[in-house]
Amino acid sequence: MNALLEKLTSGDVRSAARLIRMIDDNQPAAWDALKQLFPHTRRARVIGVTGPPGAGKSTLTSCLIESARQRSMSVGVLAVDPSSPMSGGAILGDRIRMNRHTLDEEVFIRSLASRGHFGGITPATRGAIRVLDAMGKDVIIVETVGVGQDEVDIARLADTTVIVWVPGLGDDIQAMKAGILEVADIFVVNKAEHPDTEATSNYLRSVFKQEKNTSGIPRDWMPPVVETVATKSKGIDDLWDVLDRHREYTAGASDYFVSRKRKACRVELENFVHQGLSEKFSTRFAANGLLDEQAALITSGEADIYAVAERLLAEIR
Amino acid sequence: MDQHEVAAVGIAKMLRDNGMEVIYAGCFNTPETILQAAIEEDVDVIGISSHSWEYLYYMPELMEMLQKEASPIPVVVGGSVITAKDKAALGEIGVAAVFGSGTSDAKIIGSIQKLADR
Amino acid sequence: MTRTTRTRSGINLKSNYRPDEGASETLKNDYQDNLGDPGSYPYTRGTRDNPGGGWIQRELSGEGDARRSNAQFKYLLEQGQSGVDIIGDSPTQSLMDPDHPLAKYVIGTQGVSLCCHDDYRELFDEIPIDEISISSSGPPMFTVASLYLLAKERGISPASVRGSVLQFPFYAEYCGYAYKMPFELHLRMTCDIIEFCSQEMPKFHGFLEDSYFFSEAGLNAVEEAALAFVEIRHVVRTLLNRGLDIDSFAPRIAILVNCSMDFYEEIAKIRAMRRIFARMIKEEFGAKDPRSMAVVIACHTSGLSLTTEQPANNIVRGAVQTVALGLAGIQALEISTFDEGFRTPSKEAHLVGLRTQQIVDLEANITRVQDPFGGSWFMESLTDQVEEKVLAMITDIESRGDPADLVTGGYFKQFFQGAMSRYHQNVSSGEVTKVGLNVLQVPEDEDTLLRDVSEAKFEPLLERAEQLGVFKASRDQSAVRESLLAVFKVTSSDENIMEAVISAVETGATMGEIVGVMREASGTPYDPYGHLTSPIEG
Repeated sequence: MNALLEKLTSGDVRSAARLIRMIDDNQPAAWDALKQLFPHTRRARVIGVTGPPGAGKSTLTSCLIESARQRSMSVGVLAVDPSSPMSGGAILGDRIRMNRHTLDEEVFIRSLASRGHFGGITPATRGAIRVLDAMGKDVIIVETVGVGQDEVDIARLADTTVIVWVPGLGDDIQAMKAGILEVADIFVVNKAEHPDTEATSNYLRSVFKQEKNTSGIPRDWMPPVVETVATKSKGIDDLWDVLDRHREYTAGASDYFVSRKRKACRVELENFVHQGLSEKFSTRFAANGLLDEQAALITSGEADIYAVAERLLAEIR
Repeated sequence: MDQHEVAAVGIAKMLRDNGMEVIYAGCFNTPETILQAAIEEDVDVIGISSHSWEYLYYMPELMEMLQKEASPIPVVVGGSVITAKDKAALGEIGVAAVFGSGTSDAKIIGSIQKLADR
Repeated sequence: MTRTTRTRSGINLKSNYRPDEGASETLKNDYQDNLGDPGSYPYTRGTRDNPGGGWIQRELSGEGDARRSNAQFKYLLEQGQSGVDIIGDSPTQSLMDPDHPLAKYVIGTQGVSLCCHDDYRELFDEIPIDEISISSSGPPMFTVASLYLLAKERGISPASVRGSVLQFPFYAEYCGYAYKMPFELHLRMTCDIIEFCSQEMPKFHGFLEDSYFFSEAGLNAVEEAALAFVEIRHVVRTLLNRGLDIDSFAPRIAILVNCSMDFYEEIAKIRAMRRIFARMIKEEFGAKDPRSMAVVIACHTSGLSLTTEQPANNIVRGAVQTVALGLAGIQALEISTFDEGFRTPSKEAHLVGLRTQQIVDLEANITRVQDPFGGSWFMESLTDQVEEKVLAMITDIESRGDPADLVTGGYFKQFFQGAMSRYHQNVSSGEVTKVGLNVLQVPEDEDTLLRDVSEAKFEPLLERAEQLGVFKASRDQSAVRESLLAVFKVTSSDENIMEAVISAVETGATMGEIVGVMREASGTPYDPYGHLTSPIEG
């Protein structure tokens, strides 16, 4: 393991890929590896890119990779796609749009499947971000398909959340959930040669008012709207300028931003604890048939479900 | 350069429906890009679909690159244009399995699963 | 081995049809309303009144270099084909010159390698371009440019050249050879070519709508026709928005359809398409000239319908499809040859394909009677049902938004991928019977008939790349550069690009260079694969 980690922190692709795999498969050794990696993280800039299907996210991501490379930054990309709820399998095809960067040694592109996690982001995604961070990547772009809940998830793990929209989606804008408005740092209106572009951009600008987040702290960053035509690399420089501005803002560690980061951290911590408890529970009760036994007794009337539950909970302490 | 995606997309979907995660790398790949993608994605198996004769020239290059890896990834090749002679030639350079036209889905899944389990 | 009771598009096939059902409205009404004679509106029964006229018989050619393909033309013409059709190799079809790094191993193996005017000159050497139909399934802009130049070089009026070029602005990127250019550029290019042909080459079909290639993704007859019409309608609207009169270009719209083994539905599809087109052009787009309403329909038989198992069976498939098409009144036909599962057609396979057409035509005398299925209770019912489904699908697709948005937003991509999986499923499950593949198989070692011909391979023309280098160096560099700058300029303007493209082709600029510069003018990279740099600076 140590050899693996050493290679990883000096940028070795194979070690990074292998470790991400271990994290994705939830192998026990992955946890230790991540513990050891943690001190080497929190250096990279994490940009989340999300939005509805067909918005051109992958093409936009490819442009961002290009921009980053022009500024001599190394890039890690995580492209998350949904797994089939029925079979558990997945087709991960975002790489195709970024193909021109495949042979660039400073660019690492990895696809991940959501594996049943509603909302696209999995614990593995977070772990993978840390791996890329520890690897030495300057910028990490996390791309997910999202409408609604998913955007909220991605904001929890990104420093900057970019939501990509396209004009002409009409009704969907009106139905935008409150969650998105809270977490968007930048709005990109892609395919900006569409006639409805101006209307869409204006609408997006108009919806942001001074509002407080759930900790009562007023929002102090108004998400700008940037228009792009990703297929022609138009508007990308403007987008990058806004990204830089947002980075300065986050470096300023305003109350609003810190509050958000803390919330994200708390959620992740909670998730780990819940997961741990859930695993403990599984091994202790579910795996050895104890639950089945009790269920049989309850249904035949020999035991009381509330009493049984109380007793099991008491045993955990 | 081959742009006949019909079979590749069909197979990808079929594998997905059988619980596998498929990195779909699309068209216009070369041995270099395939290798790089395979490494970054840490795949268990590489699958190549070809409708033209390009594979006759590219496969030796790819297999050579793979054999230099510490843990070479198994490769399977599919396509309706593959003749019995081609199959033999591919086997000789180390391709793990070749699926000609008419190979059943079950056989493809089975082969890939076996290779992945190794 | 059960027989299906439905057509591929899902229409139920009864065991027999009686006078009082299905198309009774069509048959009861005034004959002229829904049917009419062949050659009369709404052309259901035939585009022209031409009994015994047969169809343009040809086999799709193209292999290796222009010289080799020219030999193919000559051989087939000697053997009685009445027109030619050419297809480029993968790089050519993707508008890529043979010296592109990705082109290396496929030069000339799936079609002919063409990238400059000299190639076309060699391709048509001693071919009478003013006497026979010259069709091209290759890059339309360059085919037209070179034919125009060739005509001038030979002292022929371009206005006497007949033939066709394919146009596919909507669907190329997803299931054919991707041009990798912005949609608006592809559409503009399409319209410029059509407009140019309507003025300079009025006998030439500048717009052969190619529903063959995208339906090979596993689409059924209804889907094929609907998507073809969606594309035609959008192109027509775009041309009308330019201020063109419908009758100035509509007479030269034609359709290249597919033909599967679903015998009856393929005939109904063609009849329905003729009627739909006629009514659409007249009632919706206001055409006055009957020639605008009578659409020419050509066909390339389905490659997907062939098997690599028992290749001889493919000859039978080609024959069955030819009979269907003859009965449907097709006007030009190319059979997918028996070896096409493995390779581009061998000489032997080409001949069999041509002979198939000739035998069906001359010995079975199919076209002596036009639309023999006309008035059939069954066929009129089926035609009506196909028409209804096609019209419904067109309406549905167009209701989803601007077709341009559907193209770039991924709707059609999903459509094709869905069809691809569906087809794969159907064959795997046996729902679609493929003799030799999922039923009635023969062990591999016994399946030897015609294998030697079918499985023969040849080498890619690696030397083309070097030869191109030599050619490029021999050109008047400043003239080429000037002409490319002119193409760049015109592409950024509203003018028709054809004049600048023809001039560039004349100076020796290659296809890849011209298209690359056009891409640059539209804000995308010269080489979408990121290997080449532009020969001009901004």
